[in-house]
Amino acid sequence: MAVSSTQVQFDSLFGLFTYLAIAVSIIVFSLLIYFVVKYRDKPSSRQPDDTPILGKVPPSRGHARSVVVTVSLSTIILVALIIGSFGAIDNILSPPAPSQVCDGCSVLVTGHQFYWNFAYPNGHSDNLVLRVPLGNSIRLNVTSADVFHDFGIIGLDIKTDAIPGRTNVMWFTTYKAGNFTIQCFELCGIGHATMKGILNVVDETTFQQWYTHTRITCSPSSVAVNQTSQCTALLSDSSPSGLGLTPKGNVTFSTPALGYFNTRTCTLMAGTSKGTASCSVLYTPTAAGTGSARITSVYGGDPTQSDSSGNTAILIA
Amino acid sequence: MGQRFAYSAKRWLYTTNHKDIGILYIITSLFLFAAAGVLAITMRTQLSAPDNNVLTANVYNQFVTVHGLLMIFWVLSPLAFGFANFVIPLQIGCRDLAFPRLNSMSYWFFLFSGVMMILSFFFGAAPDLGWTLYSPQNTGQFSPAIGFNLGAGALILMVVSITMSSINFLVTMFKMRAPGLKLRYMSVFPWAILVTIFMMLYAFPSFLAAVVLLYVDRAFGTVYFSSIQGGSLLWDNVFWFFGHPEVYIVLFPAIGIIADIIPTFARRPLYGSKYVIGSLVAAALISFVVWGHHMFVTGIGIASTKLYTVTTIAVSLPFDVIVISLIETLGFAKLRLKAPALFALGAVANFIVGGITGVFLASVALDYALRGTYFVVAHFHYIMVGASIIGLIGGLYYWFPKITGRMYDERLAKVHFVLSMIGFQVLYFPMFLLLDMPRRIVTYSPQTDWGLLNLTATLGGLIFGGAQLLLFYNLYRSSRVGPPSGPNPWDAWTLEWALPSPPPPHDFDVIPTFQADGTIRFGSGPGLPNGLGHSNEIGNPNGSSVSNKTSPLHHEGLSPWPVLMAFAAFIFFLGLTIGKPANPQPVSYQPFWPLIADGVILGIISLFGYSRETFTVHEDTHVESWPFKQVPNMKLGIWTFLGAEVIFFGVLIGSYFFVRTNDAAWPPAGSLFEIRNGFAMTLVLLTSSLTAIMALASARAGNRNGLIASLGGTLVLGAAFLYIKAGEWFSLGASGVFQNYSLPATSYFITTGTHGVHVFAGMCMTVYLLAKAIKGKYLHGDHTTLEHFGLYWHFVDIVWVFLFPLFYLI
Repeated sequence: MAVSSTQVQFDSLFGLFTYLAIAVSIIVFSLLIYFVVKYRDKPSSRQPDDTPILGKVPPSRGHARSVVVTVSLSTIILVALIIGSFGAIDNILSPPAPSQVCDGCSVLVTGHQFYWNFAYPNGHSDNLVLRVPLGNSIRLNVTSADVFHDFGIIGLDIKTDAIPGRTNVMWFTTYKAGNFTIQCFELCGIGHATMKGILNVVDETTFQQWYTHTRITCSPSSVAVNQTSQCTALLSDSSPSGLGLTPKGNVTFSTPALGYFNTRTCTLMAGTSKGTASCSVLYTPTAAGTGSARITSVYGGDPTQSDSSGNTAILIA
Repeated sequence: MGQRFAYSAKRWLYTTNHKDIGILYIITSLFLFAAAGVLAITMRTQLSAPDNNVLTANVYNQFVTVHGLLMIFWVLSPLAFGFANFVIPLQIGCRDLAFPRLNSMSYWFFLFSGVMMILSFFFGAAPDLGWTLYSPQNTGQFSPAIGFNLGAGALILMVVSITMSSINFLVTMFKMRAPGLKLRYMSVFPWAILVTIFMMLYAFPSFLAAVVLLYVDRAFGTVYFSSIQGGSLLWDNVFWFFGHPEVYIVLFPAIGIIADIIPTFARRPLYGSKYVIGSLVAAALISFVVWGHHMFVTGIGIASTKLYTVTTIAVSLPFDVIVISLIETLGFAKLRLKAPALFALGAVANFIVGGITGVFLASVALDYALRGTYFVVAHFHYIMVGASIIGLIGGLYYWFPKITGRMYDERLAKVHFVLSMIGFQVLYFPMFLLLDMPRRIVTYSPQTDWGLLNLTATLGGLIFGGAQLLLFYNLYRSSRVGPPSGPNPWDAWTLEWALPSPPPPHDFDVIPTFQADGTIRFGSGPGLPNGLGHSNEIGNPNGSSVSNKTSPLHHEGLSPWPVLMAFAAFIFFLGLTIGKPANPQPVSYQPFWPLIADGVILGIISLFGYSRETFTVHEDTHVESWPFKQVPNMKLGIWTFLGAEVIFFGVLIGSYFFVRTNDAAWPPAGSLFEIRNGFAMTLVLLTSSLTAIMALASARAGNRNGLIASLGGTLVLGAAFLYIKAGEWFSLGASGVFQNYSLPATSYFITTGTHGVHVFAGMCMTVYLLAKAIKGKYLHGDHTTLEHFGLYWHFVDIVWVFLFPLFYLI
């Protein structure tokens, strides 16, 4: 049962290597065992006529032909393996651009002693679960916040090093829904063995519903300094039952840019369509800064709803 | 009794005889094999069931690291070089290595480095991040334990030992072969050692540079590995440049042993021996261009990834030739399946499996899945244990009669073989199937299906480990009560078997001569077995002397200085490494000055004793020494040493380039250092090269005043250089430009500091030469020491010629 593009690719390449390895082993071991059994010292065995004696350098023997045959046969096998590997390397090292994958399918993975953090473009961040949609290409940018880790997903046959100060890209296409174990594959300290996470592959609708659980929009999206923009957080049902329950509770807004909110927290009110809720705050930038302000909204969840967050940028003229 | 003990202790401590040192290496490495094996069995016990609690993660990580380091550096290579020490001079027909005291010093550095590695457990924590010591976890911030410093110090001592040893073997094998013994007459074992030495000379200086940079980062708070610009990738590069050749360094001696044993027991010459030797050379060369393969995930690009895949897969071709040649040797043979042959054949079988699975890992495409899993663990244990250790054990049984004069218990050895091979397969084969399980994890969850395979592996480990007790028992008991073996129990044909077992201290009564037709003659008499040498004992099974204990000490072979010098280095490094942390952030350590001072004083005393001691090294005049015919031993030794230094400085300069290219904010040229200072230092140092040349010219001309003046000039100029340098250091330190050791500061202080230490060492030599010159030495054709000093001094100056533009002008 195919799990992912990487697993399918690995299985076929590993299969090729294994078949050839078994074939070569059978030939070489048969030769070795046959020679040992046939030419072992027994009463009937003939005394070789070229046994060297102490006091004389042994004459050299052996044909270059044997070397040529060995090297040629090996080369044929190795070329097959190299060609197979090249195809896989091209594939592994040609990830889709972030724009070519779905919204929420490009995730920043950061290794920490001793957990993995998954940060989505919408601001959602999780230290345990990497949730991705089925049947999509997933692009992961892998890095580390402290020491050398290695990010691997058991069953998907793909890994990449998580190195501080450097981002490695890894990608795969999901073929099967379910949970897979994410584990660190480079000794990173005392908690190495338990540095795990969960890859949760869900169908696309569930993913979209979950991913867009919090959507944040600011209107107008481009304002002048000291001009006010209204930012609305829209939440949709994320309950496992999918019954269209209405999210309840508060949403908190924040930004690293210079400016102020009329209030940092607003209380959700049910929306017009089933299973949605929203509330708004007003944001006023007080300096142009870098030319934009990133607004993040965090929803703490309620007994039926998971927590989530979203973010958006306001351009400041 | 007491007197005999004192005599015995003195002999083993002071010996410089290659055979004694070989025995010391073999015994020490077998002890460490047992120690590292106990660590392994404890880890296997922990892993026998999921969620097991035998070891905590903290202890497990230390065990996994020290097990790897000990086995690779303190077991595999030293055991092989124990054999090389004992056997190589006998095989090439010389009476000792070129520099016997240096050889003794190599051993004692090796021993003390091993002691220091084990001591690390008792200072906080031993190194605990795997033998690859990845950065930045190896920095003080993440691994603050003092034990880690000891580990780094132990590695430095070990590399010093290996470098001295490789220089010694290289000079011996190139310069001291018996007359007429062409390189192509050598069997595979000496060839394998020769190739290994070359790899060591190129690989270990790179490792030394890596460990030195790591050590200064930890001790002085520099930032090579804690900075993003250096960090993980810098370590990866310098480590794996060394790391891949290292794999062959621990393998080749075993291949050499196997390729000597199999023909002997098959009673036929090795099939295609020149192709086997050519393959070793080819594999060694390729091994230096595959290191990028260990870093496939670091974004080196598609083209480079493919290139490294091809070179790494191609490295299997020479090994194919070796394996096929070994198997073809058995054709039409009369194969006696004695223990050495069984172990050699077992090693070949394991090597086939290890080699084929190595091709899997050579494919970068598969590495993306297999990296860091038990598949890798299985593969390299098939090579390092299955081929190397099993092959080396074959060598132990093979040479045991030669070393001790007694025969081991053959039946016990066969039981040992069967249990070892079964235990080995049960231990490591299941790991190939654990291709999802991460390496180096202390435990795993019961939800995985890894439990049964792990339990099987643990049972195999107990069988394999238990079997080795038979080996130790057999060796111990047979060395006391085994039947006398006679000089040549295997009817072998390499030269060591022409001598009695054990060979007398001076090895050869008469140095053998190789004739053009390959016949070996002792003196003027006819060739063996009726020739000179020890003709009365050849072919006589009871002729060997096992009462060696009472034989007089090797007449010129005792020196107390090597062991004292090694001990001085040991306590010096102990002082450098066991100090308490001085700074919490970034962590740096306060050296423990009393020990450092003791080390320096003892070091100076022993250096003085070493150089004043009359220790004559027998240098035969009529020896085969292609391709270094006109070069005296000492000079070749110094050239080789300087070759290793080139690599060392090359890596330092390479590291500087690496961090500089990665750092976008590097200050422009001229803004950090006064070009004027650099220019002045260059001028001073170049002039000192000139005075060094003048010193040699004056000595040749017998001009004592000229010699003293020019040596004095060299000394003053060296001092002037260091004076300007020190001024620059202090003003830079005071200026605040270099607060917190930015990368420009780190690379500047460490690179020029290392060079400064070299200048200082050269000045110490000048003082010694000056004192001798004032007493009237060097004027009567005895000026070779001056020549050697000149080589070193010019080298140090040339390094500066590179450093000046790199740091000051660009």
